[in-house]
Amino acid sequence: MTSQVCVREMEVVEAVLGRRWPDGCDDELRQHASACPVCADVLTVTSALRDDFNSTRDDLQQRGYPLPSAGQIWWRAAVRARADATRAAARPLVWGYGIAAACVAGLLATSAAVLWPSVQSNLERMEILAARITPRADRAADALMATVQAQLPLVLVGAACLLAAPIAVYLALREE
Amino acid sequence: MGEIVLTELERLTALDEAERTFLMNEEEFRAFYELTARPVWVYLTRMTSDSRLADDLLQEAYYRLLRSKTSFESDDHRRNYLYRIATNLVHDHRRRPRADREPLLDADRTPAPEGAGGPEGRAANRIDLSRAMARLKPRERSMLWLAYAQGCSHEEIADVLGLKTSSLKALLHRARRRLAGLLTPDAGEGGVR
Repeated sequence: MTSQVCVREMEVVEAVLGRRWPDGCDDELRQHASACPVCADVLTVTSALRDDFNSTRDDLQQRGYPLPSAGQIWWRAAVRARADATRAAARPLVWGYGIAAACVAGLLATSAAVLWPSVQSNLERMEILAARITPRADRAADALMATVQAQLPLVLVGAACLLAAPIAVYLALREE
Repeated sequence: MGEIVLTELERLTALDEAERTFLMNEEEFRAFYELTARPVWVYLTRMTSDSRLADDLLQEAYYRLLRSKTSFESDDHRRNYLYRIATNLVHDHRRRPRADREPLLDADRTPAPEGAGGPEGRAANRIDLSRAMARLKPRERSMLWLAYAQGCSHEEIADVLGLKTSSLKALLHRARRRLAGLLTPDAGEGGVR
């Protein structure tokens, strides 16, 4: 079984990350890295990953737009925190409205069930009463229609005044 | 629930509230961001293979860091925590149904290196590395990147990935062997060429 660690592997990593590999290192470390399987793997992996790190960082500089600034991140975080807080505060209110609406609906349904017999008897009584007064109502309606026909211009003027009054009040208030 | 729209006054109030809510003030945040944003973005880009997605995850990572109630002993501790958030965001993204997300590293896809203005050999190396990394487990990618691209210590990596330092050494050794095998031209079946 091969050894998992080498006491010098951190030296190799530091040399590559510090851009000292291979020219800035002593011969002894270079010879060790070529002979030690652990350090050889470390060298292969560190060189590849560090090159990729540098290339990816260069990509960021070459693309058309930079990373958002610290100020932008802070600002967006602040606004989002505020929105989250508002949403969290509104949640119990929404629940409260929902419960209140359910209570009202339940109350109405119960009331309707309890009051329905008395409403039904009142409707029957009104039906009998309406049957009794219908002839008298017909006579009153005929008289009213005759009066309206006789005073039609006056009725039209009154209706026009009723329609124009709110508009006049609105215009007067708007100018003020 | 519908979108909550903030008025200008509320937006201004939000900045004041942020000073009280977040555990660091704006000046501290600026300094920390300048120090960490690029390496974290590079980490996210290499873990997702998508720079646009990395932009989004970067913002989310800093937001979660600002909202966290953890008190940090040092900037290093805070940085490790940020990497942990970033790692979790990548894993969360990976766990989403495929229809909802852009594909991450995939051994069968060869993500073209962005801004391939450099020498051809460099671009080819990057493709090889991308293919090799795609064959590793997500946790292996993270630990290798942190150890050998960013130079984090074993303790820091264990902290970021939520592992014990003792078990990290063995895992790191195994992952390094695999990647070295995949990157070496005469690696036989496991090679990427």
